[in-house]
Parts: sequence; structure tokens; C-alpha cells
Amino acid sequence: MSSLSISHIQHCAAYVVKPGKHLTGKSLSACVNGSIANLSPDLLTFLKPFYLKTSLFPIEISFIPENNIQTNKVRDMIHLIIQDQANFQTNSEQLAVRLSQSMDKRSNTVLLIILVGTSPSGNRLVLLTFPHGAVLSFKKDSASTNVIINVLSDAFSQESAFFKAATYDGDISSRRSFWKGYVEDKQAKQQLKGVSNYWIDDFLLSMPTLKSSYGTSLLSKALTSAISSSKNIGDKQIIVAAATTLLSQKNKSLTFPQIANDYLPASARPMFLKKIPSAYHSDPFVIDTSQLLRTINLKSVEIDNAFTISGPVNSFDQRVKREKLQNGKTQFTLTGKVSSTKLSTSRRKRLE
Amino acid sequence: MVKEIQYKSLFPKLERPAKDLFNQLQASFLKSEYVDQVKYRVKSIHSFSKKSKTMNKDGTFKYNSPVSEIQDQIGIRIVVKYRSNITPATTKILKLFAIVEDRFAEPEDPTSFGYEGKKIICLIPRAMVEKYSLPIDFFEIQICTLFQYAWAEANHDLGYKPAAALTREKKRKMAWAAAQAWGADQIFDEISKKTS
Repeated sequence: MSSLSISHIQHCAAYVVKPGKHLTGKSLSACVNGSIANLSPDLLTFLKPFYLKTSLFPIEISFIPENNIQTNKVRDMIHLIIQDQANFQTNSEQLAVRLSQSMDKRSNTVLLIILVGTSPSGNRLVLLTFPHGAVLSFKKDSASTNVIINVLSDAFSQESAFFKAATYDGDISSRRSFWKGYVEDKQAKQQLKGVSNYWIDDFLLSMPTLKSSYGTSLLSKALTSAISSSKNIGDKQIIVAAATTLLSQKNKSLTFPQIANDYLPASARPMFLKKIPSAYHSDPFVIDTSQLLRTINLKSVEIDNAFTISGPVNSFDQRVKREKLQNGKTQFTLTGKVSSTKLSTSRRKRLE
Repeated sequence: MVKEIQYKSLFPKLERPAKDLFNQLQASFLKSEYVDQVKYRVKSIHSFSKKSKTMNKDGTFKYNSPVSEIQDQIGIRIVVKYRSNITPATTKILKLFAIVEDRFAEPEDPTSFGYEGKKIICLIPRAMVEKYSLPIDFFEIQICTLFQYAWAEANHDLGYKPAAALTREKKRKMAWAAAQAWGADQIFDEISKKTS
């Protein structure tokens, strides 16, 4: 099996899933409607790229081990779907129920599609959710357990579609080697909030694999490199200011391209991103601000929200003298040779 | 046999990623005075071969696909000074790597003494897997104290030699040495806490 085709899909199930957080029993069951789905030619064409293109799932995640040992409920559910394909409907419905339990009333009803099949490296399982009306319309068939799905052809585009997705590929049936997956959350990106929590944390019981300390160490190296390679003193100052601002972004989840676009001058972005392995360009991470402060080698003081003194941390305290005045203010003295001066009329303009 | 041949070709390819992980950890613990040393190793072909043949109680093989399933092909050991240093070292690792297991290995029977130490199974960072086209996803970090490390090294040297299977008395002596190491760790940790 050298190349993957749509014919490798062996099973498909579709469920209309309503938020069911904190519900149990019949109330919870009523939130999930659906069954094994027959793929119409339109729907098959629509779903094909999600099954074939792993590039549609850029964020790497891993299951969170329960009690610090190698077990995880969602991983078990996926195992079961792969290993017991004769009971695909029952097993896939468990995932639909779990999705409902992960959604609170802030979430809209979604269509969950589960695709299972083979791939060159073993098995593949793809989970997709779509809100009603963006690219698909769906409703429960009143005469059966099926879901009636229509592809809205005028809105057809995977790139613009609001969807949440996860894919698992390889030796998924192995309890020892299967720990990773890949996700995408177009909907959350449109809201500029990073990956929404309920999809990865609550539903998939997973976490992005790029951990805060690892991401911060890459960030620190890339910022240092951007500062040293920048030839323009004004740009250097903006990058230093960006680093200072990032030090205050505690508990905020960001991606490297977001940092480049939102904090750095255009001229510094290519050098910054070049220093980040491309594998991490979509992975969000939380900046470890204390680590960044230690490793960025910059110290900065802001006065009256208007003036900033920044410099290398090693010599900062020797070069920048501070004296407390009686009126509660502090006087700073910085001695050195002027390398250049610059008049900037608009910081925004330079950032563009 | 097939698995052994697979690992023979993989073995030299693991050296560079192992070194990269070692460098990453060494840099992270550079300013941690409680860390005595960081070491790494790539699992030997002999050791891999032996482990790949491990059986379950029902007589089936434990590993269906040893190359992807044996998780300690790359191993890093962090030796800390005192027992209470294991916690901050673990915290640091959890911020650095995604983990799939984090447990303290010790004899189940409270009256027995043997190997003790923290075992953390981590995911190899994505960029490294892609850079070296690795067929494995995991590596193992062990955190132990100087005394635990000393005992483990001697036990490995003396206790795993097939030609000289240990007698009951020798095994009891090894357990006694483990108990001494355990006791020494307790005492040093206590004194360290009182004096710091």
C-alpha cells in the first residue's frame, strides 16, 4: 500500500451532537443522534481531503496520562473503535457522547463525523465537527437514526470552513506506542483565541506537545537572534520592547507566527521564524515568563508608561544607576556613548 | 530476529537525537546546584534484543512491534544530590517535554529493598522526530539520588552477569546495600533540609 486513497475509508459515522455537560442518563442520550453514515458522492468529495491530507491537522497533541501511568479514556475509546470494528456504531457513539459531555451551553450544536480506515502506516481515524450551516447543513432523520447531511456547495472550502478536527494515524492498536495525534480548530482561530479548550482538553483529554519551557527556550533563542541580526537600531529597540511585552504575557497561549506578526517589526519576522523549526509553526505554547526573563538576557525598566531603558542583563545594574528620591519617584542615570538617535512618529507604522 | 536486524540499523541513528536531548537537559539543569550529573545512553543491541523477547504471563510476547514500542531506547539519567531534589527536577522536566508516564519505581513489598528512582517516559520533541526521521516517539528519563545511582550501577554490574548468577546470600547482601543507600538518602535529606 504505497499511496492513500479515499477507498481506504472503511467506516463512517455521523452524529448531531448538542451540549450535554453535567447531564446524565436519558437527558445526555437525547443530546446525541446519529449512526453509521452512508457517504453520498458530494459528502465523500467533501471529506476526502480530511482523510488524505495530514497537513490539515498542524497541531501535535498527546494524550494526558491518567494518574501518571499510561492510560487515557479517549485513547481507550479509539483503541476499541480500531480493534472492534464489528461494533463500530456502538463504539463510535461513545465518542459522540463524550463530545456532548465536553460541550457546555456556550457551544452550538455540531455535526460529528468519525472516519476510520487504513493508511500506509497502519490505521487512520479522523474526527471532524462542523457547526450547522457553515459548509454543511444537517438534521436528524425523523424516520430513522440517520443524519441527513447536505454539502452547501457555494460555501465549499476546507480552508475557510469552521471546523474542529483530529487525526490519529499509524499503529493505533498498540497500547505501547500510540500516544500522539494531530488537531486543527479553524473556528477557534477565527476568534483569535488559540485552540479552544473543550476540543483538546475536555473532549480529547490531550495537550499540545510543545511544552511551555521548550517553547520558551526556542522563543528566547529566536528573539536573541532577531536582535543581534537586526541592522536597524529602531528595529532592535522594537524587538527589545517586544521581548519586554512578552514578559508580561503570563498564561497566554501563543504560536510563533502570532508572536512574529503581533509583536515584531516586519523586517525581523523572517529571521525570527527561521530560528523556529517549521514543525512548531502551528503549535501553541504558554510562555514561561520567568524562564524568558532569565534567558533573554535583557533587562528593562519602564517609567511612567512612556519611557523605557533596556539593556543586557549582565551589565544593566552596573550601567543604569537608580536613586530613590524623596517624592517617591526614582531617578535613573545611564552613562555611555550615543550610538544613534531616532525619531519615531508612529510605532504602529513601523510594525506594519 | 527481524526486530534485532531492524534495531541494528536504527542503533547508530539514535546517537545524535540522544545527544541533542542530553544537551537540552544539561542546559536546563546548568544552574541547578542540586543536580550532580546528567548522563545519556542509547540502548545496546543486546539489551534491546533481550527486552524484545519479554513474555507476558499468558505466554504471549509483551512487545508486538518492539522498535516502536520499547520506550527506553534513548535513556537519560539525572543524578540529584538528595531525595527531595527529585521533585523540583521532575517539575522542570514536565515543563520541558510532553510525558506519558511519571512514576517512582520502588519494590512493591515495603520490607524489600532494591532499585528506587523516578522514571518518566517522555515524547521526543516533534522537530527532533522530523529532523532525524525517527521511527520512535519516546525516551526515558530516570531521576535518582547519588546513593540510588551508586547502588543501581553496582547492581547492574554484579547482578546482571549471566555467568555469575547470584546466590540467595549474595542477593540478600545486594538488598542490604540497597537498604543502606535508602537509609543514607533519608539521613542526608533530613540534614540538608535542616541546614538549608
